[in-house]
Amino acid sequence: MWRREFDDLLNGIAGAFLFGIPLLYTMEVWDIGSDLTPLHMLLYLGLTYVALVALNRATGFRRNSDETWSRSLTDSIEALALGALVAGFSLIILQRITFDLAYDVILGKIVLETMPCAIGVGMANGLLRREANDEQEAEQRRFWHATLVDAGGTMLGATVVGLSIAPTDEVGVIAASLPPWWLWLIMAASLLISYVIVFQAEFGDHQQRRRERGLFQSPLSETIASYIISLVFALVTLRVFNQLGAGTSLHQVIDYTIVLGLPATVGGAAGRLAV
Amino acid sequence: MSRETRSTAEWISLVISIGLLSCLVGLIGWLWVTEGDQPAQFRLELGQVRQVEQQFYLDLTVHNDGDRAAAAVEIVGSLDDLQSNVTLDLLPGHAEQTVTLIFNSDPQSAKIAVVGYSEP
Repeated sequence: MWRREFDDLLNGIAGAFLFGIPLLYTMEVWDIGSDLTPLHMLLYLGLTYVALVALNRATGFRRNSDETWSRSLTDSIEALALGALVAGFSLIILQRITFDLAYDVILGKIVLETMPCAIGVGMANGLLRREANDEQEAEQRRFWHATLVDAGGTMLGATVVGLSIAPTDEVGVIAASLPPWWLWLIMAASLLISYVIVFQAEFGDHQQRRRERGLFQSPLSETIASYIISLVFALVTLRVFNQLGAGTSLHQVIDYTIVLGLPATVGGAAGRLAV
Repeated sequence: MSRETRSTAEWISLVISIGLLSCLVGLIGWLWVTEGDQPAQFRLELGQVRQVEQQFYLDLTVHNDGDRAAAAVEIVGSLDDLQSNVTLDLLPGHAEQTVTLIFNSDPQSAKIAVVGYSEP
């Protein structure tokens, strides 16, 4: 019972990151959030709740639940709360909210980022659930083939997300505001989020472990391998867009790569789910 | 899709979720009630002076004590006919930000003021 509830909540959190991460890396959203009036905050929360009820009728984040109206109404409350938690956590990790900011700025940013994150929770099943025949297909793969497919999916996802964030100013803005030791926190968060997504996609429904999945065999090695691939592709996309050049200090290269590594690894996890 | 009763674990997450959202909604309500409509007003707090070779770096904190945000806040420091200035992109109400002015001589007697801003 506890295990299953925990699985459902993690499923929702994984969906929140998959869907919310591009908007968490958007300066305009931070700025608009800083300027919200309390009336708008309440209005946006209410609108998101209505959208979630509709989504919960269709997909939702719980894996085995009956689809009654009361269930949709209460699941949507939980989805909104999970979205707010993910938004708050991410904004703290990216140092977009610190405690010397005014309360309305902090709340406004959280409320605005809660919208995409909560929608991601509401769509978690649609984003993450794998079909049974997909499992069988996977078992037939050979070791290297499986490794290549997973590595390819990671590269694809990391590049797509990397390309959409690398040319913007957000990476530099975030990197500039972080003390060096904070990068460890970002790395830890990247690994944790990637692990949650991987774990949810493969084990959430207590399905049997697939055999012969190549180098991406255990969730832990899959997480670490995909994080390294994502960091490499974060670095490559940053170079492509001239964010890093010949004159860049090593310090900045490390800063930028790790800051972009977070969305890249989420994209990588999404890419593995897609292939 | 089997019809099941809600488990204890689900009840607990529901209660925690409701608690969390009530806090959020409550905080927003509190903001609303206490929200004022005072235009931006500024206060400067001088910090340390650092000397780097021939230049003097003066840190100062700009406070916006009003309720409304201000954009393009310009801070000018004058010292012996020379001016140093810095512009803040955005300073929300009841927020503060640290800026640095750079002078060619010791800014002990510098006059520092916020000289203008625009509505965001």
